[in-house]
Amino acid sequence: MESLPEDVLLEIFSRLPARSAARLRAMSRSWRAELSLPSFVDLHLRRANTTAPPKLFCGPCDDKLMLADQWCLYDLQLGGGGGGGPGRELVRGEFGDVLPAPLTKPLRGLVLFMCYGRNGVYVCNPSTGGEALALPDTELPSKATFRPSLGPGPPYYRNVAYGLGYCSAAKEFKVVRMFSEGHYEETATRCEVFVLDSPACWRPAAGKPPPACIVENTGVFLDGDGGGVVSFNVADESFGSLPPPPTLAAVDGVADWRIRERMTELDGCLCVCQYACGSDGHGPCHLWLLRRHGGGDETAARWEKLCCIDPIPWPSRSIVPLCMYGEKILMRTGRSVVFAVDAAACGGGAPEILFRPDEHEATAGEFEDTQLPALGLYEESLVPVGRTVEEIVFSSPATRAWSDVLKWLPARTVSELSVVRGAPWSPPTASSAPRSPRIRFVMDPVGGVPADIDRADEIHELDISPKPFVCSQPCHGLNVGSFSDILDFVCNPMMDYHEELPLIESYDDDGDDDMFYGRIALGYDEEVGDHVVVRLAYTENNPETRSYGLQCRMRYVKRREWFTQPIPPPPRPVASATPAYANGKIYWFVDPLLDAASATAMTPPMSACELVALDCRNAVARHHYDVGAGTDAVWSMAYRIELAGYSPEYTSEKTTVMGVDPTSGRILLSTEQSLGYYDPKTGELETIYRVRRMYQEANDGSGAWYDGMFCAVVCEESLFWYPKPKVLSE
Amino acid sequence: MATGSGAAAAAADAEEKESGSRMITLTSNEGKAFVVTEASARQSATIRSMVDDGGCVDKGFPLPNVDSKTLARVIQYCDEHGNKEAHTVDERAALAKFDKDFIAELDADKAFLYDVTMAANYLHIQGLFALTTQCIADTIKGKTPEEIRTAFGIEYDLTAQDEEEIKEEDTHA
Repeated sequence: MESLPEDVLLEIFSRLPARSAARLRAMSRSWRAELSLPSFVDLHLRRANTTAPPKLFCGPCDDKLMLADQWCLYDLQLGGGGGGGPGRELVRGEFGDVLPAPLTKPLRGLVLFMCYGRNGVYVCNPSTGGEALALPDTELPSKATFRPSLGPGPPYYRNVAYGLGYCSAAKEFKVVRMFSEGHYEETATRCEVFVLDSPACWRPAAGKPPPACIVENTGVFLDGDGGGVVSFNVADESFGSLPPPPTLAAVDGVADWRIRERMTELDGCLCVCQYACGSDGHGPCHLWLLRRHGGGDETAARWEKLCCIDPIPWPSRSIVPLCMYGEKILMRTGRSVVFAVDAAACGGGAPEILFRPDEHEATAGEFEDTQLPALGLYEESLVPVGRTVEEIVFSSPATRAWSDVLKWLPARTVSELSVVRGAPWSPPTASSAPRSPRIRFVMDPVGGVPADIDRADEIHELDISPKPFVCSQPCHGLNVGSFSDILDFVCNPMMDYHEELPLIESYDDDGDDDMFYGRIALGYDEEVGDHVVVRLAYTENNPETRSYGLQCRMRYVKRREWFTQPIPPPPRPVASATPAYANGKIYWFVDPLLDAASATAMTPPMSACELVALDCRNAVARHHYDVGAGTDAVWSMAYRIELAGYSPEYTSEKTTVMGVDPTSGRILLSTEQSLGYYDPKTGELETIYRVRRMYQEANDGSGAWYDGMFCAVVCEESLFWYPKPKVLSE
Repeated sequence: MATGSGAAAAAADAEEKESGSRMITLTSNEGKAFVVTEASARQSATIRSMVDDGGCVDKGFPLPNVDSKTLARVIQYCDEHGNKEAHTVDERAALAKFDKDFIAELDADKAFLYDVTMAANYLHIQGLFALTTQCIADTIKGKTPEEIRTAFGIEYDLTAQDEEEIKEEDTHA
């Protein structure tokens, strides 16, 4: 057979689906180069998407979308009269999260997705196998995280909405997000831009958005003030305003709150879909298009009514037009039903159902009436989703240097720079210079409310409570603590991360005596890459007879699961001193009152320098240690602390070693009422903080007086935290 | 100014009407002459530009790259699209049906389909070219790179390093 010339072949290849065209890059060297050129990507984008009908994808029922390894999106063949249905798989459980929903229409083949499991936002090209790029700082945007230690006011925004734009001049994609406070007037609105495939993170947009915007995840932003529409110029990042669409209240005389308004793009114009919705169904659907007259001048744009659609028999709170389909308008409901209406026959013409999920085996099941169902448009496109920041960083020497610079900054600063990735940033301990320990106070066992030493008093009264709470020294960026026998928590006071650990239902809690400082311990499992919490509880504790019973439970912090079975408790009784973690092991002190043998540590630390890493509450008082019986390890004294001259403020009974300042060699001591640096060379003790009121009336109204105590923790420069998965609200 | 351009447009319209009735002769490489309406011939951007340049309309156009069998089929397409209106929904539907039958018939004979594609490319008949290339694309859609390489006589020249890269991209996607 005679072969075709190259330019004809190029035409043919540009009409292939994206996946087939991408596969042809394995044909030959010259074709590999040719088919990777931006000019071919553009040609393919134009050619491969000309054939009707529009390309849609749909997801299975909610139950299946909830399974991270099983959800998938199907190519949806439209066919009137039951000819269509879900076809081949486009995307299968790739994002590491569940409940995906498209936030935007395809733009050069790319679609923004949000996964409602953890609210992460992804850029995805469904036509080439669903390769997805997780956008940084989206699961729990730092601007939308309330951090009490920063005080009241911004930066803290309630709402965030995302949009995707393409600047054809610079040939770059921009993801835009708007933060807003809500419906209040004069509240600030912030806009941030993330350029795909660039070695940077979110940055403020060049232009300032108008205040008091209501942001909704429709890819378009509504101006809350005048009811108008705010536009964003993707090229120069300036904001503009468009006239508001006519209000439905004036047309149909219905109450404002019943009106649903959805905005999208249709037929190259901005489109607003309005209808009144009540419990008994909804009224007719009005579609408005913003038509431009006299060129691209936005001020000359006018809202024109496209059509009015009679109430459809399946009420939904989210009816949105998808695209034009010949003379018809393709629409969907919140339950993934797709139907077509005739644009010309205004008010007349019954909607034609093109797809109902429950009629097909692959998609049958329960569907929630949601604003953003897993159904949308896609395009055949060879446009890549771009690389992650890390991939770019490690492909360029210049940006790698930048990343090294970041490692030297305090964690807090780095997080404020918004260079936080969705994944935890490993603590940069290896490359850090020796630095004095950073101390913060955990002010509240429930909310954390961490405060720096110099601001502790001005923000909150120190906790005055009959029930003390303690917090461990950091382990791989996190701290763990106990509040009396009421609750345990994990926290990173640097990041205002504070999470309560739930009690175990089968937990045998015998009441008040349960509280002891060794109750909760934190370790890090390098293999799994997750923190481990160990909770010990005495079921019996009788010093006189030296009889005791210990219970031990473990939990992974990130996975949020208690081990179902209790694990064997330590072989010897544990004292009330905060445990320590070193080299993959957690160490407790043995309680000499309960243990018959000796008062050495259950598993002695392996070397002297690790001793300072331990919390040696009891060890301080003892000054030296016995060699553990039956082990090879030898204790050697690293520091000798003489506290006799500083009594009663620092007595050996209540003083704890918190750490050693590597810059000066001084030892940080805490009595929970005073914090001081002890110099082992000179024997001098400098108090850096002291509780203002040593005794205070309890704030629980009981009239009792208690010691004023603080809970000081040494913090690691760490961006670690485990964002909580949001409970589905819809 | 406005009236001037309006008059020019009117004159162009008149010329268009007049030229619509003109007949044009196309000659295949075998010397066979085909007489078609100008509207039909204007489907080809190549001929259209020659006509508009005041070329030799009377002498006809020799097409040395197209044989008689192919030209006859191409003219069949041009006649349908050049001489029929496509303003109403029904008219458009009729044309779509013609295209469908036309390409289905061509699809049965691959060599001939390629000849028509080449002619459409040479004559710049946009609609026909889109139709035939889409048809070929549809047939090769599911084929492996090896099969397509054989079908189009493309030389295999990938190095081991290229193959390694390709493998990596595959696992990535």
